[in-house]
Amino acid sequence: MFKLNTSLHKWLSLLVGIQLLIWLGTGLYFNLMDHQKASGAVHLRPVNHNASTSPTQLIPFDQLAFDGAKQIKLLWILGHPYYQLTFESGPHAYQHKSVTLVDAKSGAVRPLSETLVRTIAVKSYDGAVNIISANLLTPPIDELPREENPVWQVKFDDANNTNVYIDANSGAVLAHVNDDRRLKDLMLMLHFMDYFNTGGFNHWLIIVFAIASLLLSMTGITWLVERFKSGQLRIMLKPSSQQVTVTEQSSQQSNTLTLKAQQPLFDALAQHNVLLPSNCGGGGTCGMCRIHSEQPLKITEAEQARLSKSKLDEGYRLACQHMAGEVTHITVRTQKKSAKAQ
Amino acid sequence: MIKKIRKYHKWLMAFVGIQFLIWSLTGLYMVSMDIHFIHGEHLRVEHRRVEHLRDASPQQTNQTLALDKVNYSLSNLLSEYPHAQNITLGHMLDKQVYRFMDHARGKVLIDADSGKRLAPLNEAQALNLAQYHFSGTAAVASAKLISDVENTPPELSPRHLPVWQITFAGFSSPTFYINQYTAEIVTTRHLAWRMFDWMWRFHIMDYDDGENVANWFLLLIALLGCVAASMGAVLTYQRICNNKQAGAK
Repeated sequence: MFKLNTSLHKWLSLLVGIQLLIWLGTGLYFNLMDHQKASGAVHLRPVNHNASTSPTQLIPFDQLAFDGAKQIKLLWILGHPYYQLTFESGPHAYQHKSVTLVDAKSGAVRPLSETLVRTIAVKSYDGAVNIISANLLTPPIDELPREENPVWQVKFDDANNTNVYIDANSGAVLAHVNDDRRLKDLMLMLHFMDYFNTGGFNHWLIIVFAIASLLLSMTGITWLVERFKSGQLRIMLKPSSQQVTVTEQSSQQSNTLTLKAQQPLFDALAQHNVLLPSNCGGGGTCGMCRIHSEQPLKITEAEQARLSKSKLDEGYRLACQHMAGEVTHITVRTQKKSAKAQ
Repeated sequence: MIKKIRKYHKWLMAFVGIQFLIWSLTGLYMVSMDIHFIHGEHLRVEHRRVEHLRDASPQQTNQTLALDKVNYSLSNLLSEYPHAQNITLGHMLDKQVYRFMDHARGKVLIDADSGKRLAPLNEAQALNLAQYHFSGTAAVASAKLISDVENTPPELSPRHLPVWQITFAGFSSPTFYINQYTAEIVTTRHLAWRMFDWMWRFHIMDYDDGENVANWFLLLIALLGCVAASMGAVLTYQRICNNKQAGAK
C-alpha cells in the first residue's frame, strides 16, 4: 500500500509537475498583477454617439422591410440613428448573433463603414495615435478567442501596440488589446491550459490534469499522514538526547554516539558522519539505509514494502523510518565501506 | 543535498499541502462543470406556452415582433420623452414594450400598443413572468422584493436593484432575479452556481467575498507552494533519472 502510494506520487508528479509549476507561477502573476494595466483599458475612454435628430425624421417601424426580429434597438453611431434588428442572440454578447443594421432615416441596410470604424477607434483612445490598418475580421479571432461575431480590428502605432476591437453589429468598442493585456491573456491561456485557444477552460485536457493533480495531492497527504504516524513530523519543543551504540558491520568497530532523540535515525547518524547509503534522501522509497537493531522495533509500511519478511524478522529496519530515540544498539553498513566493497 | 530537499519538501508540504488539495479539488470542479450550465442558461427559455396564454396567437407566443401592432411609434415616444436613451422594442410576456433609460425617471417600461407607462412589477406579475420563462416544472417556493443594498444577497450584484427574487422549489433552488422596472430577468442562480462561487473563494483563498485575487494570504501560500513544488520536481527527477546509480552521492 505504501509502495503503491509513493510510486503513484512519483509518476503523477512526472505527469503534471511542469503544469503544476505553471499553475503556481501564473497564479502568483494574477495575485501580483496591476489589474488596471492588464485590462488593456488604460487609454480607453467612452465615445459619445448621441446627437439630437428630430423624431419625425425616423422611419416608422412598420415601414421597415424586415420581418422576424425579436428586438429592435434605436442605436446612435457618431450622431446618426440606426435601427439594430436582432433576429437571434445568446445569453452572452460574445455568442453568435444574427443582427442587421438599418439606417433609421432611410430604412436601408447600412453596415458599419470603415471610415466610421476608424473614427470610433480614434475617439475611443485617450491620446494622439495614428492608424496602421483597419480590417473586418470574421471569427475565430486570435486576440478575442471566444468571440463568435464579426469584429473590426483597428491597429494603432502607439508604443504599446494597441489593437482596438469594434463590434461590427453595433459600433461598440469591445476592447483595447495592448501588450499588457496580451501578457495577461498569455498567463490566462497557460493557467487554463487553453493551448488550442478556445478562450475557455471547459476542455478534456485540463480535466485530466486536474484529476491527476488531485490524486497527486491525495497521495502526498497520505504520505504525510504516514510520516506523522511514524513520528517523523513532530515539532520538538524540548530536545532530548539518546545514547546509541553504533557498530560498523564490516570492521566491527563500536562507537557510542549522543544523538537527538526526536530526529530520524538516518539524519541523526549523518550529523555524526555516519553516512548510510541512500538514493531517496530518507524518504523510505529506496530501501538502502538498512540497519540492524537489537531491540524490537515496529515495522512501518515503507519497511514492509522494501525489506523481505525474513530480514524484518531478523531485526533489519530502515534508518529513515525510526527516530534515534527508539534505539540503543544498532549495526550499520556505511556508505564508504560498502562502496569500497563493491 | 537530496536529503535536505526531501526534508524541506516534507515540512513545507506539511504546511501548504492541504491548500494543494483544495486547489486541485476546486479547480477540478470549475473546469469540469460547463460554464453555461453554471450560469443557469438551461433554466431559462425565451417563451413557453402556459395556461393563461393558451388562446394567444402563434405570433404572440413566439417572441418575434409584430411591427404592425406598434401603435405608439418611436416618434411619439421621442416627443414625449426627449431624453430617452438606449431605447429598445421587445417583449414582456405577450406584450410588446419599449424599454429605455431616462435621466429624470430612471428605467422606463412602456406599452408599445397603448403608449401607457407600465407600473413597476407587482408580485403576481413577477411570478407570472418567472413561470413563463422557467424551463422546469417545479412550483414557486418564495417571492421577495429586494430594493435596498443591505438586503441584497451576495449572489446578486446591487446594480440590478430593485428586483423580484423568485425561488423555485427543488434541490438546487433555481432562483430568478427580475428587475422591477424593466421586467427583464437579470440573473439566474442555482445550486451549481452557488457551489462554483465557493470553489472560487477557496481557490483564490479569499474567504470573505471572493472578489480579491490580490490577497497576501494567497501570495504567501503560493510562494511557499512554488518552493515546495520545485523541490518536489528535483526529487522526482532524482528518483527517475538517478535510480540506477548506487548511493555514491
